[in-house]
Amino acid sequence: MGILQYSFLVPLIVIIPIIVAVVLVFVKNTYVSWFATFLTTLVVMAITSFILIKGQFVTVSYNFGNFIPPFGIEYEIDILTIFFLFLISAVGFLTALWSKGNILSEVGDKNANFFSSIFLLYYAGSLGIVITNDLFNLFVFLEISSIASCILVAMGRRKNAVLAAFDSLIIGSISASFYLFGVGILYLLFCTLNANDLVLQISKYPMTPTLVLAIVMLSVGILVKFAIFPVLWWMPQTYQSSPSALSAFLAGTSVNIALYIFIKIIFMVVARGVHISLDHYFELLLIVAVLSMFVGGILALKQDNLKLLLAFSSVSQMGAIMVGVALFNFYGMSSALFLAIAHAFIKTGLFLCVGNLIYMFGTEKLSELRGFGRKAPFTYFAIIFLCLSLAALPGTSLFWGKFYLLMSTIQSDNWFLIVSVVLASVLSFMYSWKIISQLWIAKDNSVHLIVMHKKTPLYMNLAITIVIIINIYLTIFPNITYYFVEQIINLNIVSKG
Amino acid sequence: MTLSYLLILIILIPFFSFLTSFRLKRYPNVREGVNIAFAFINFILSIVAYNKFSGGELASFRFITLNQPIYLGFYAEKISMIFALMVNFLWIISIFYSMGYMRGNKEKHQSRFFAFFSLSICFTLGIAFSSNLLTTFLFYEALTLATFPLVAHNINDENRSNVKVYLGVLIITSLILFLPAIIGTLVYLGSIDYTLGGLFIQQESTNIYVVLSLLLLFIFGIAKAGVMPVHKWLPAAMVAPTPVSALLHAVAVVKSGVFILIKIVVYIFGIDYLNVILQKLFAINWILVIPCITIILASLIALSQDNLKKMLAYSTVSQLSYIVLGVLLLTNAGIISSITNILAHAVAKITLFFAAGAIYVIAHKTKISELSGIGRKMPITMTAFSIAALSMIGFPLTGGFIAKWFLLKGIWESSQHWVLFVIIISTVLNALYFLPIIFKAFFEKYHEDEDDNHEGDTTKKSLHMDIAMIASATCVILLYIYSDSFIKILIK
Repeated sequence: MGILQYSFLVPLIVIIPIIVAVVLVFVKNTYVSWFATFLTTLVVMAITSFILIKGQFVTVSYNFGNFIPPFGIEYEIDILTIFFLFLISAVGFLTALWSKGNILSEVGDKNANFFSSIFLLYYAGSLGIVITNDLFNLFVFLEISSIASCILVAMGRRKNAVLAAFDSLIIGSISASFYLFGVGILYLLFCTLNANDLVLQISKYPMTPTLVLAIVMLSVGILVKFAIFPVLWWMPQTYQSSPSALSAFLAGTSVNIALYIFIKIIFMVVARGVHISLDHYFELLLIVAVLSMFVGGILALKQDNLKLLLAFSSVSQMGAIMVGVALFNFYGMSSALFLAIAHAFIKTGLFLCVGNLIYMFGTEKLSELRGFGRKAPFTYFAIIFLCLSLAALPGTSLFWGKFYLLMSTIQSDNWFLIVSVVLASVLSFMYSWKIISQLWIAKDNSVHLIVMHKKTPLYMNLAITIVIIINIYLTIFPNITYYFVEQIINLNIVSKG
Repeated sequence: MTLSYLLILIILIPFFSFLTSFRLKRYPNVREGVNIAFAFINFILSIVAYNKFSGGELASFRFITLNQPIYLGFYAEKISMIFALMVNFLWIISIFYSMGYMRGNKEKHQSRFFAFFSLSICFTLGIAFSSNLLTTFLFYEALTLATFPLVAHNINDENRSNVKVYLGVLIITSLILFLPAIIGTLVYLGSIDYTLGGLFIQQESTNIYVVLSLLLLFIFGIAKAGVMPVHKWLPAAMVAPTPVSALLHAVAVVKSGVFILIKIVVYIFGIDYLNVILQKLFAINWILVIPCITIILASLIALSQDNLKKMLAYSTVSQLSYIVLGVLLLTNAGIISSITNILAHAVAKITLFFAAGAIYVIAHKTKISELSGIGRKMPITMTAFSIAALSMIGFPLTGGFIAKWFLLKGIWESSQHWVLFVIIISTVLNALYFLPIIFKAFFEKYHEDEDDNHEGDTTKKSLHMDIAMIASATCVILLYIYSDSFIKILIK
């Protein structure tokens, strides 16, 4: 009993935001549309946390139109799914709570309801990617979210917003076509799109070049979409030119969605079904991950634009997470999950802080913001705290993930990896410290700052405070995260693999 | 109250002091009064804790647990208790001194200064009581960050690069050497707890090279211990106000560095185990070369310095390596000499820095060449300076002598006789850079400065500083007189 009788809640997670998104198009009032967004995300978060707490690691599934899984579309929530669903819905809730002032300052009163509407669409798309158990349905949600994000990017009134939106549209299409191609091949071979069914089919099937092609297509599609090494340039550009609310949401969720799809498709669908070793595949993945760790870190060091800096740091962190995944042992996987959850909240918080700065001073350039501390003490201390967390210093939430990552690399006895992970952690300290030192130690420049708003509204600061509390919570109670991570790995990867 | 809670209270009281210092920004007298009160309470608490501990009470406390081997926690142990006592005692003296110095010098941001001063003490005590390497690492990094605002107190375009060196060297070495060493130990042994007799002894099969490389990673990774070439941060940190230099070089930073090293050698590697391993590898203990080179080179550099604080910094580098040397001798006498040296050097060096600061505040002099005749103008300061300098050289009747005595004994026990020459040369060098200053201060003629016309308020200014210096200089001598009972405690 228990959770299974609540399975009707499962589709609501996606359906509610979509319905509200459609309704919001006709609501011309900024305040109402913001409040509706806020309420929707709150409800969705309540549902996910309800399932998370009540769920007890039971798999809950919902079949659309009562078609039985291999034929109909199935939504399935297991422990891995609920972990990510909760993460995404929480980040969405925080950004929605925070977004009102930001919408006014960066999008404008006229487009406010459209922004909220499409934001919810994007939110629904992200949740849908995670919740669906059907590979083609996943593609649909991937497209929904990528198109929605393009529109949102273009809504920011930046100089290069349209260009960035176009770029991310192109990249989104390319990655989606790769992904669709892979899914097509799988469908050709096995006549099924349901993930669970696919696992059964693949395990009976010999390894053929066609299957390898499918795996490669799927991985390339996912890696392109989520800015792993060679194709990473579009992402920082998108982050920079979009309104801060979107940047924060993207920064918090896109890494996690990538990780989720990767774990789900590559490991749960393919790796555990196929009986040959995937060593070469993992080696290649490691190299790409290490490269994006370094390229992201070095480029982050060079930036003066705070948003760009944080975006490149996301690339670097994504590389670190991928290293953990590609090591494919217990510590590696758990480090990836630890890093993903901590990074999500740290990055969201930092982008929200940057949004605060833009709201108050209308700029995000480090060189212009020097010594703003006295004018905005709350944001200032929040940035220092979050930057120290981003640097993965001990006593912060990200440290546990870095610790596990180092542990798994040392266990793997791969010197190249040990050295690169260590150096990457130095890089991440350096760019985080760059922010702190520019804002605090460098020569005071704040006389020239134009103050647009003297204070940020309470709800903006509230959102940032919640992020900080979550980070402190993750730091002090790593055992709870660890419990989840252990369950995920044992239930989904080790036992079935 | 049980000992565990007492330990936590001892760590938390400086933190309270950190918080109140910010709150009491408007009332400097109240602020400093509260600070001193906290310091006194903490000192008394640590005496109580010490008594409880020697009464046989055990304490351990975990506050963050990830899983079995990976957690953060505190425990009580003999070396930590002594270290904590020393830190708390010197905290009181430093506050007294800082009051005089900061006001006399009319420094800005005094609240911030006192706040982070307390925070550094808090983290140092955290290092003292931490029960595994991870906790140590947490407080090690936290200490670096907490001292950073102190070092960067008077930051400007000229000293910005120095401040960068300070932070860069400490953080980067810890990230690329210390942390991997900790995780390496964890992966290799499955535990990182400090254990009596050492962790490695429980391991049945040993790879000698793993042990050796871990040891080297620890020696160089703990840059706070100041072994060359990772000592660079120490002279760079001289841009800080003098009470901070005193804190860095006598109490908090460098001492926690060597303290961690002692704990790692004694409680992680184990002296007996390391002895066996090293004897398998080579007849002469080549690891000793690292501190020996540092001792000689740093003394030579100190000899060439004209800036008083810089000279003291390099002298610290050299003295720290005495402590490292004592540990790496891997004999009981060596360990005793290291612990004694921590205390002796702490009180002596804090006196020297206090004197340097007092000279700067009252006579506005920073260079050794300008110190002619200063002893007649500032007799208390220079007397304290001389006592401390003699202790540095290892003169009888001072604490430094006891430390050196046990170091020599340790060298004899470990039969690494070549180290004796290093000690002799270094002692000569120490004498060469300290004695001329004393001579100059007392027996040469004082040059009147043109800006010497505010005689009136100097006595008032220097009262706090004088009290501090007299107290610490007395301790240098007391350490000699009561060395007997002290050594007995250590041998037990």
